This record gives sequence, C-alpha cells and structure tokens, in this order.
Amino acid sequence: MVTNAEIMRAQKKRRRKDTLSAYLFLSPALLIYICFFVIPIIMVGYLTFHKYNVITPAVWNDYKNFIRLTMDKRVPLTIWNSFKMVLLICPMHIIVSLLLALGVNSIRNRTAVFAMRTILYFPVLVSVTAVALAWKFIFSTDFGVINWFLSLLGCDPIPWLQSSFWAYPAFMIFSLWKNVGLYFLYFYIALRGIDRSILEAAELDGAKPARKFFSITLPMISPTTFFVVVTMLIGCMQIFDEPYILTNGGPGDATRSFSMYIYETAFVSQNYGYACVLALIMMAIVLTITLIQFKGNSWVSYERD
Amino acid sequence: MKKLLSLVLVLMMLLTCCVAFAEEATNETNLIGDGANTISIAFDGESFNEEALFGVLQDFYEETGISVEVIYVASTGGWGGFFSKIQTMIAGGDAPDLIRIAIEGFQIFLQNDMIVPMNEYAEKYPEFAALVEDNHEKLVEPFTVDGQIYGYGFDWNNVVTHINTNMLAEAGLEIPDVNWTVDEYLEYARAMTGTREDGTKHYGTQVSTSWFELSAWLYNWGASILNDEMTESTINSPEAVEMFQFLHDLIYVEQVAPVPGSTSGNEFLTDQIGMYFAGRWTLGQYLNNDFNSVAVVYVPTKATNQVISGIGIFPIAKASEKKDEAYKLAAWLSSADSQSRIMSYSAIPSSKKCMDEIVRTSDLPINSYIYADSADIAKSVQCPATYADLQLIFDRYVSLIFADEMDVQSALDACKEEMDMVLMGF
Repeated sequence: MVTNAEIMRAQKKRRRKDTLSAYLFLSPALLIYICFFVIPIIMVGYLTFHKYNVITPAVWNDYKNFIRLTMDKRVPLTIWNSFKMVLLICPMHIIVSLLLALGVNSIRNRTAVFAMRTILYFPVLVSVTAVALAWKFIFSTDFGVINWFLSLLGCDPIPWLQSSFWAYPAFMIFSLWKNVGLYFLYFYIALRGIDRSILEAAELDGAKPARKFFSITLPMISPTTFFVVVTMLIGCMQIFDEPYILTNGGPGDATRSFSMYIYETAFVSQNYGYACVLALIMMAIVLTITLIQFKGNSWVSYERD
Repeated sequence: MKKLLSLVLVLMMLLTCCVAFAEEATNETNLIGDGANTISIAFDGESFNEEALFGVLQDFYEETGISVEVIYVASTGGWGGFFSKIQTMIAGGDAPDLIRIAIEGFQIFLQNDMIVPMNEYAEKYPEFAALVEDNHEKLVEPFTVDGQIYGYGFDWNNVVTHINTNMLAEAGLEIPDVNWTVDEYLEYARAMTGTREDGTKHYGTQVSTSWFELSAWLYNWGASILNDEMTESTINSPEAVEMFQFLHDLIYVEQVAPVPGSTSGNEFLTDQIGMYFAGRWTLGQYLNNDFNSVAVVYVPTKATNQVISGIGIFPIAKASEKKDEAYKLAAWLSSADSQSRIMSYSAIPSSKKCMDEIVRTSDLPINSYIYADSADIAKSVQCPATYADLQLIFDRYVSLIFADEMDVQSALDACKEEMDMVLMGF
C-alpha cells in the first residue's frame, strides 16, 4: 500500500528532476546571457565611477563622469540627432514597406511576386559599409549622379552630405533603399497569414477596399506592426553605420548620432568610464521607449478569428 | 526545385570550407621561419608589398634564426583605430613584440608606458645598430626623448602639391617653380577651373581637410595647430584664421574647388581635379591606373616654405618578452636594404641612400627629387598624447568651416577652447 507521504515524496522528487532538467536545458542560453549581458552591464555600472583607458588599471574618480555629463552640451545634441533620425526614418519605413507589401500581395503572378520579393530584399543582404560608400559617391555634390540629373532639370547642386539640413533627407533615401526590404518582408508574411475567407465575407457584405484595409487587414497585422515599430525604434535610436560612413557625423555634430558619440568616447578617446555613463543613458532611453510602447499597445490585436 | 536548393546548399558549404582552408593557409604564411624562436610584429593592414616584406623577413630569419609572425590588424578610423586595437591587444596580454606605428601614435604609446628605449640594445648589438646609421638624422629626432631613442625612422611622408599635367596643358600653363607662392597657386587654380564641351565640370584644386595636410598649410603660413610645447592650441591665431579663410574662399568665393567630402578620390586621375595635396602615398594609385601625368611642387609658400613630416617606426613593446630579438628585427627592417625592397611607392624611405636611389631619380612624379630634398627642412607634425581627442575636435570644426555653416573666426575660437580643455586634462 502506497501512502500519501510516499506519493508526495515521489512528486516532489519528480518536480525537482523536472526543475533540474529545465535548468540544464536553459543553461547554455543562460550562460551566454550572463556572460554577454549581465556581466557587461554590471561592469558598465562599475566603470561609470572610474577613469579607465584599457591600458592602465581603472582609477576611482568619484562622480566626475556624471558631473561631466551635466556639462556636456554634445549629449543633448547627439540624443536629439538620434531622435530626429527616428522621427524621420521610422514612419517613412512603415508606410512605404506596408504599401509595398500590399502591392506585392495583390499580384497574382507567382514569378512576378518572386522577382519583386528578391529585388526588394536584395539591398538588405548587402553590407552597409560597401553600399554606403557607393551612395556617398551618388550623393556627391559636385560629381554625383543625383545632382547631375537635377542639373538636367536646371536645379542647383544640393550639398547632400555636406549640409546639416540636406544630410537628413540623404539618410532617409539611403535608409529606405537599404532597409525597406526587411520590413516589407515582415508585412508581406503577415498579410499572407490573413485568412482570405474573412476578406471575401467582408466583400460579400459590401465592404469597400478602404474599409477592408482599416477594419480587417490593419488590425490583423497589428502584432507584426507592433514588432516592426519596436525593433525599428530601437534600431534607429542606435543608428551608427549610416552617419559614420556617409557624413562621419558632420558637418560639426549635425548628423552625429548618440551611438557614434559613445563609440568615439570609448574607442577613439579611450575614455571608457565616461562612455559607460553615456551607454547607461542610451539604455535608459531605449528602455523607456520600449516600455511606453508595451504600455500603449492596446491597439494590437492578437485575435485571429 | 528541391534538388536545386540542395545543390545550392552543398555549394555554399563547399565554399565555406574553401574559405576556411584559405584562411588557415593565410595564417600559415604569416609565420616566417620554423617557429622555434618567434617574435611577432603588428602592421596596420597590408600597407606594404607583402611579397617584398616576407622576403626581407625570410632573410632576417636565415641570418638570425629568429622566426617572425606578421599580424595584420584590421581596423577602422585610420591610425586612431589601429592604435586602439593595439592598446586592446596589449591590455589583453597579447602584445606584439614590435609595433608598426606612425608619429601620430608615438606619444600615446610613450606616455602610457607601452614602449621601451632602444639605446641599451643598440649598445648590445652594434652590428644591428650599424644597419640604421645611414638613416636621416632629422627623422629620428621626434622619437628621441631625453637622449633615449624609441624607434628608427623607417618610412616617412610629407605633403606636397600634386599637379595634373594634362589639365595644366589644357589650361596652357607650365609646371610652376617648386617654390611657388600662394598667389601663383590661386592663379593656377582659377585657370584650371571650367566646364568642358561635354558639360563635365573640372576644378583647379581640392581643399585639404585632414590634420596632417592642413598642418602643412599652417606651417607655410607661419601658424600651427598647437604651440611648440604642445600645451596650448594656437589654431585661432590671425595667421591660421587667414589660412582657413583662404581655403574656404577657394570653395565658396573663387569656386575653384569642390566642397570637401564630395569627391571619390579618383577625380584627379580622370582630369576633373587639377591639384591636390598629399605625400608619396598616392603614387601606388597612379601606377595601378597607368597614370603618369603628374608633377609635384611644394605646398604654396606664404610666410615661409616649411615642409611637414610624418614618420613611421617600429618600437619595441614593453610587454615583449623577447626585446633583444625585437630590437634586431627593428634595426633590420629600418636598414637601407630592407627599405629599398619594401618601399617602392608607398612612402619616402628614411635611409639617405634609398632616398637618393629610389626617390631622387624617380620619373614619377615629375620633380620627385623634392621628396628627398625636403628631409633636411622637414618639421614633424604635432601629435601630443591627446592627439585622438584633438583630432576629433579639429575635424568637427573644419567640417563646419568647409560646409560654410560657421564663420572661420568663430569656428576656430571654439575649436581652440575645446582643444585647450583637452590639453589641460579635462
């Protein structure tokens, strides 16, 4: 006769075994997470109170890095530059990629769909550095192709990458060409996942295309839209390659993103302590934006039926 | 379709294997010698003819029995990026025994106590010290601190005016005197600017933007970025302001130069830029493109003709456990024989013999002799230990001036203020 106590003991033993198995399965990922996320974050916190240049040991310097932060006029400027890039690039990416996805999704010819998908996605596969260099020549004020075409229309040459105003439209053009394929693909897959019978039922009920789009398509792809918005905002806030290669942050600091400023402080000036303070600011900004997005995601519908 | 996909996957895997083996092969060839007694040397990418370099190192191995591991350190951000990588290697306990550095990084390595003097080893190994006796004295001076020599000048560069002789002929001009003036330069720039029949625009000149090239300009105007002690910025001196205003006006008033940053670097070869400023490092580009329509003259004289120099050396890392062997290699590499084999068109050799044999007699470019002649009058580029920080500040304000977004005086005043803060240790 098995007693209750024995059953309890066996259950407890099994639970312990399950827990152990779970930890064993999790351990590789957990180890990577601890090594590459937790420890570096702790180290960043530690270094914010130190002066450190890799070569000599870290020296405690009180709160000097934080005092410098309050006096550093380049911090708000570069943060604002990053926000400008977010505000200019993100809405454009979402609208254009969604329109492209809708367009390709409406094509019935499979070969044409395959060709369009390949063409749109191809720039995503190419290295940013290589194409940014090519685009640098395209944007050249005096010898570039764009200005040559504009000159045929009688326009004056535009200093695309040499002007603090025109550099942003140049980024928008480059970023759209380079990245829209990725977001297009997300939206395209989401659109393909919508049950056609729902749209057909709406059609039978007399719904117009605009009504179908706003009342069925858009809500049904809202989880994808949410994912795209979150990843794009985080990515744009950390934008580095484009300004680094196209303008090197110039003229002056006009196009220097906050990531670029952190990079220069750490790896060029070798001021790792202050760079860690800046990195914490960046983390706080990205975290806040992400939390706001998650708090305000009532528009996202996970209902599929 | 499935078969096709499988084929593609197999091909990709094969390609990956090939790349992996190729990488291994490259690593193998980076070790010269049997590997029994090995020292390492770090280079900033493949800036020299690899075959010639390995040949020199093979001879070194056969002479001394010391194997050499060549480490190519890939980096971005020019010298600053390379120095940063080396510092990280040293901090990580993976220091190379010898480091290829330019003068831009000398003070960084010296003041962070990462390199050692060579005097002790020169006395210990006089036969190796004798290998560098022929090197130009002026090119060792910047690396001599309190009588201690930290490196023998290996290669060096100055800044001179490169003139496209096709465009010169098109404008009906002769090659100017090597000691020409700023006024003559402006006349040439104006004459070489215009639009061709096919509608393509060509500019007489191009404005320099880098620390090194603009330092050369400033020297000729009797100015400099820093004072002689390198303790304070003098970038906003009246002479410096006048010089920057002159260059700014070349773009926006005279319109004889394109906006900096809008060129690809090939316009000189395609007869779209008449003149620009560089050392000898661009000659390889001419050779690769079979371009030989080029003459060089000094940077236009204003107050004086003061040539600039930027020198490369091979200092011994303090962390090296084989300093004796490292010294032998440093001397071997800086010898006249090695310089004549490694350096063809990338720089000016520091050996007087090589300068005479390779540079003075070269027919590319016309007036090549000025590279050699300028060694006697060359003044080193200013590079304090805070060079990386100062260069960032300098680049920011120069870009504002040449983008016409800030007036010259205000930009240089602000630049000085920020530079002084860095120099004071803030």
